[in-house]
Amino acid sequence: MKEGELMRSYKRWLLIFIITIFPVISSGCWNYREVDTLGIATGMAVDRDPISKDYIVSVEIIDISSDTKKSTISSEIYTSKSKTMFDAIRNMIEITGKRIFWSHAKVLIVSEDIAKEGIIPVLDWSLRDSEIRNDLDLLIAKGSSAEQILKDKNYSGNSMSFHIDNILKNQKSISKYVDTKLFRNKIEIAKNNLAATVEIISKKEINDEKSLVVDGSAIFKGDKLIGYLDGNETMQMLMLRNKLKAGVIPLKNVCNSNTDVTLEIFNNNTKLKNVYSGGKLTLKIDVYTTVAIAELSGDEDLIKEDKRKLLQQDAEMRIKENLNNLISKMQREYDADVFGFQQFIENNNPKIYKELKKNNDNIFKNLQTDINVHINIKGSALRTNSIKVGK
Amino acid sequence: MSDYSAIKMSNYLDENIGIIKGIFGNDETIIYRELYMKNSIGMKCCIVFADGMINKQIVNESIVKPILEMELEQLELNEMVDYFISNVIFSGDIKKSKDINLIVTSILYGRTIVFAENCYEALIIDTIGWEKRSIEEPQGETIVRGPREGFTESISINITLIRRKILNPDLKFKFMEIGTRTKTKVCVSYLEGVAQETILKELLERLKKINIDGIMDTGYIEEFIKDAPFSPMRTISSTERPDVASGKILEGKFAVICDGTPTVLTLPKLFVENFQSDEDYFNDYIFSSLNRMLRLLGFWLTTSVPAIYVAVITFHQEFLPTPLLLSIAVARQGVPFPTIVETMIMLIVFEILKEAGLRMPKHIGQAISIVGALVLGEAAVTAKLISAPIIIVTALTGVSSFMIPQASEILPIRIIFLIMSSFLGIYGYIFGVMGLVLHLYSIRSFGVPYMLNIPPHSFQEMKDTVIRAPWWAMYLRTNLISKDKRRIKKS
Repeated sequence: MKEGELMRSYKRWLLIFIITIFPVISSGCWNYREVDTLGIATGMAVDRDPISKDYIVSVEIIDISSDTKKSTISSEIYTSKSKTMFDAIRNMIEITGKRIFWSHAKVLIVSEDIAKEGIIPVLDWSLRDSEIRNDLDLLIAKGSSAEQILKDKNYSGNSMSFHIDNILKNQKSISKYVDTKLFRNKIEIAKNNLAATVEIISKKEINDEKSLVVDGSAIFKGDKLIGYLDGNETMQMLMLRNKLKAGVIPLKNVCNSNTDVTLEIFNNNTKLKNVYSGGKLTLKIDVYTTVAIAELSGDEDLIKEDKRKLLQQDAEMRIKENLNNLISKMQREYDADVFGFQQFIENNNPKIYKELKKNNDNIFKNLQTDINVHINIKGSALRTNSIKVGK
Repeated sequence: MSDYSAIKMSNYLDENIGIIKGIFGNDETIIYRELYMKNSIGMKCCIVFADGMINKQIVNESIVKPILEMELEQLELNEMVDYFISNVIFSGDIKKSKDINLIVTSILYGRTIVFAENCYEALIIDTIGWEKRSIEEPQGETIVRGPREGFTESISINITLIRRKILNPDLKFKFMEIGTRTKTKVCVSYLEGVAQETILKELLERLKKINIDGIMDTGYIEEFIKDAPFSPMRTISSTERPDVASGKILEGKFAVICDGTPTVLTLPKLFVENFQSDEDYFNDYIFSSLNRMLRLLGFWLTTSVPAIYVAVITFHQEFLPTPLLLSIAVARQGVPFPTIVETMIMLIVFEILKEAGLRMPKHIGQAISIVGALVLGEAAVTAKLISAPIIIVTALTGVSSFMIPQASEILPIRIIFLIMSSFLGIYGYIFGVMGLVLHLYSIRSFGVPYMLNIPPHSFQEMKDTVIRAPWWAMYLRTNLISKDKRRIKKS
């Protein structure tokens, strides 16, 4: 080999060596961790000590116990206390012995009193930390401390958080609580013309036993909790937000008879339209709902064409009344625009919105609404008549 | 072999025999048979051949018998040779020579030499008759549909196998000898008018440059003439099937046949050839195209699954669905080694099993599967030496590697990807993939880019890559490889 060639090949090997050694030394093991050394967190509950105002953070961590034949997955709850959220969480290593891994956490439960004083300190850490996913579900614990919810004794599955997550995943078919992902909540709170809503979890007594129930939603003004909506009100709110996908409308004593009907919602489409005349802003709300009769019991056979018309009118009237009540409750009691009406006006009529804002008008409180409900009954499932005795 | 070109043949039979005896020394397999003709002076001639290499019947019937029964008077100097060729010996392949080198190699190759009195030339008669293996289906490239014949160790049979498929005078065979001592016959076959002359010139030049004492297989030639000699990628492909070789010759490629081995080289080779099986061309094109895609998936699986597993398990636990993460965490509970060590161990174990299975006599081959599957798989998991998902990863990697027809380059790629991802996670794996892609695009095979037509620039170029288009749609040959591009003439 000539000298030049030797030099060239020497240089090439040096280059290869440098290229291979670089990733090794520059990467190190900064993020290397084996699965079995992780404390996999599934959920977190945040409370506040009423006297010292310290955060009490409870984390549910997966606990794997295995013998030679079988491995079982269960969970354990660790609690830590400190002035700030992050400090409390880091202190938890002292108890758990493992670094907590957040990417698989499903729920974040915040106690009522933190929510009333302002939820931002909790949200900040959750959204800032690189491991926590933005699609974590945020819940407000109503009536009991957040920690109590996670520690609920009646539940015997492998993780409470997974159980709550399963409840939330099926939100679509019941529509009695809003599915609050963390990132969505952050967006809602950051907007000054929208009141955020967060699902609530509480312990309810059903047949002498206290069970966990996710039902209704909490109303936020800014980052502070101001009130609650119950399950049905939440569904109506979703209807007005045009977010309703499915749900059930129970109607008692339809058309003043002794017949009870339950309608199942298949499709809902709500259209908003603003009319501005004479300095007054009116919002026309058209609700188009496709339903089917899911349950029918009583003397009146409401499936026949003429009777069905009556059922439809009755249902439209009742829904309209409920919606009107909800809107006026929000306007008078809370002054909280949970429906996103102001946003709609801003998007569709920015000039008027700006003008009204300039005059310091309370747009939401003074908003006139005109609701029209159009129900389309598309069927009655497998039966074409009501079941009657003796016929 | 030493060079005997300095030695001159003489007019005397005894002297000529002496020369040959001197060269072969006391080699007892060389037979010298002296024959006396029926004439007044009892003229002598001598036939020389190597025992076992000749067909005894041909020698007896066509050479010995006519010479013994021949009657003639004295001829002039060297006239006897021509007389033998034209009047005496029953053989189609006969030539005269005074080149001692040629005579010696001819004896070794199984030809019979006739030396006659008063002649300075000898006759070389083709009497080759050694034992040959019959034509069988190659073990390494079995197919369900298609021709069953395979190349054998004999170059002449191999050539006939190709010639029988392409009955065309344009099919050319260029012979040469490689190996200073073995003088092994090597033949380059191509279709004139379709193959590129520049590639032929380059190939012959490279073959001529080979200066080694002997070659036993085309593998020797491949390493000598291949492009990118340090690359794990094979830039020359090989086959044992005449239909594959003939098909590639028809595409304008070259086949290199070597005496003594059933493996034939074909070149230039493209990356897509790794995923092409000859059966693709015999089966329905939809089915074949799906199979091609499956093989590509298999290539990805076999190179990447261990790397991605290690990256996800040790760096990106958030990638996994929660139930999967939990079950892997359960499986890893109590396993003493880091994931990368586990994976490496199992991959090495798999290679050991593969190699052992290859070397093991057939009758005790079952022991391998029992020991491999039960002891190493099942028991290692129950003993918590390794975790169960690793077994799945190794099995998937191993099984999919057998799916690719020409799979020699996979192991180094797999190991490099694995090491990269064990340092940097998916980031490192992507580095590895980028490196591989850059390398693939940088190499060429006899002037043709290795990644030719990937990605395709037109629909026509895609027709024999990821998919196998129907035959009536593949009316053009591959760009750059063939001179005459049109395969199906316009009607």
